[in-house]
Amino acid sequence: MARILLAEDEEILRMLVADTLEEEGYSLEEAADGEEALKKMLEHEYDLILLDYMMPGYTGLELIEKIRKHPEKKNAKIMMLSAKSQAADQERVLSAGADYFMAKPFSPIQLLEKIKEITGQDE
Amino acid sequence: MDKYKSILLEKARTLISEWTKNDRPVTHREVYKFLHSLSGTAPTIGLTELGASAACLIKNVQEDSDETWLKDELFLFLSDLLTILYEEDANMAASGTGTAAGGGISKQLVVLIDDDTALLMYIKDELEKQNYAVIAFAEPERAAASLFDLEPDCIIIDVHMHSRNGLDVLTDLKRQMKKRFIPVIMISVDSSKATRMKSYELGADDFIPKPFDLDEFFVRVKRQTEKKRDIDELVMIDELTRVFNRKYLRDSFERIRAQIIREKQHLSAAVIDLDHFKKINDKYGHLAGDKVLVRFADLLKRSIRPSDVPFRFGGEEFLLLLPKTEAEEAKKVLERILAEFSEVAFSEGGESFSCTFSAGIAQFEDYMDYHVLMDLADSTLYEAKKKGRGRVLINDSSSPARKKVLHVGIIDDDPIIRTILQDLFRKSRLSKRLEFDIRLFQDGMSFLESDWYGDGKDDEFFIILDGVLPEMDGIEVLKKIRQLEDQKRYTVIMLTSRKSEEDIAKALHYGADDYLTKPFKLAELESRLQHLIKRVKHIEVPLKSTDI
Repeated sequence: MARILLAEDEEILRMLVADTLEEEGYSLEEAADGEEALKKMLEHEYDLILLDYMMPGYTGLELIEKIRKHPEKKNAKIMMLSAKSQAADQERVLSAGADYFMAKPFSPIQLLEKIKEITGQDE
Repeated sequence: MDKYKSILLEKARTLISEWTKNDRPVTHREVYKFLHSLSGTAPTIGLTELGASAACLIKNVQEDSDETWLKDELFLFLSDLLTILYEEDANMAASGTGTAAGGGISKQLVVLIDDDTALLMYIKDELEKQNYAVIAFAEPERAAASLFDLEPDCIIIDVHMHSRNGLDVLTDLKRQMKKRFIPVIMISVDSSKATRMKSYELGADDFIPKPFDLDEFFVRVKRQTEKKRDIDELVMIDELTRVFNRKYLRDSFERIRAQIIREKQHLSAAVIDLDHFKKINDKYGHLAGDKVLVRFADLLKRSIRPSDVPFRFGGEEFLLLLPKTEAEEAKKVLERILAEFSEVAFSEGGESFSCTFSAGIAQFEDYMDYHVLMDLADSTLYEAKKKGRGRVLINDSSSPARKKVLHVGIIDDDPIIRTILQDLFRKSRLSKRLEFDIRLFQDGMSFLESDWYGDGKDDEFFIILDGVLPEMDGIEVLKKIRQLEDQKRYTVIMLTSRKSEEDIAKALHYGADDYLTKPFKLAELESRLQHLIKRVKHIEVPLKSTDI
């Protein structure tokens, strides 16, 4: 089953997403700030990375930049979770290197559906 | 979702608590972070209102600024959010016990009189879960004084009380309530035939032996309150004075209004309030008071034309609609009635007394609707009272409407609660006629040391008192309040902790007029206040406008 990394500083959202995804059988790892997220991303392989736009340490955009510099990570799939939901913001996020965008607040079901879609594609 | 909600609420509470207790000022940056977090997370876990409030507030906060807020201003700024946080807390607590949601001013009111405080609390709690409003008295004497003003939908009395026998209370009640229908249920450990017979003979509507089965109890209470509701709806005439009651007022007004507009006629409305009526009741008893009301109503009916319509608004207030009449003429009519009425000598217990009334008249203009006309007549009435009573005034648009002031004291060491309660009163729809003078106190000493509560002989006070206070505890403060002169002017609602039955019993015993367990729903508090405010002089609590 797919391996997912969640980088999000809000404890409650981490818990919520973890519960939702683990119930569906996904294997989830968590990071609470930018540095931890970067470390995990470099050390492990993930099928999908969920990144919060704003975190202590590195911001989501900064993280994407750093990750894309590594050739073997160039193709990691990244979904940005962001409170900024305007079309312009979405575009900016996608052109900075994220593959997907999910606006906050999102419902756990919404997120789950989207993830199934993304990870299902490979199987 | 509940577990996430608890955590979020806990975190929010902790943070706000820190901001409260810490002397260190709070920066915009911190507030931004808090609101941002809330607006992102709360809606995701189902706390949509909270999220929306945060999202709205955040627009006024600067993300990158180290500028600080003054604590009071901060809480004021956050007051909506704090209120919602508090409500959510109350919802969470309530969902554990299955309490019915929502307050609402149209709940039926049950009055309980029993000196067994444990049982009192239990029944009150259970009845409230059934969505009744309940006011409980551990002292029968206190109850007797308030019953009329509260106008309950049902009264439950214990037969065997230490200071007074419940059957005596029943006898008094029936004597005073001659013409009013309020169902009374007796409860009693002694269910001997003699006691049952006595109860029914004295006029009780039902008799329930203790210990009783709760389900059966509810059904029997419901039967009585429904009967009352049905009767109330059928009756358009006030039982005592035989003039129309306020239920008929709205329909009647609309009909008359349509007619006078069509026929291009004038219309005047006179609001009449008997002077010092509560003093008459207190001094000579409610029976004497009723005689005065009946006499006034008779005189009124005799002195008006067939097209004039009199209503009793409740208590000692009447309304007279005079179609085809201009204000000047209406004034003459009322002045004649006033002259005659003040000559009447009432006698009670060997003493003789008389009574006058004050009246405010407003003339209808095309642009007015029901509320505008009534408000105008009302404020004119207040002018008449202020000018010395015993007179009839016509609305003079140059004088501002002055309302009666109700002093509200909020004594709680938690600044959040103080803010929320202050907000409740400020935004309140509790009464059109009252202005609230709100004072906040963070402990018992600062309240008792202030001279705010001793002012003025006519002033009325509502005190919301936290049971748990630093240094001097809530019960001590309550005791001190109850030692003050002119007790009836002080209405005290205690905020108690859910877990402490002993504290609740003490609160009732030492004379709290009501108690609420924390965390409470604001709608619930509002509902209680609505009922208790009825006891304040010259105040009529407006029903929802669709009811009138």
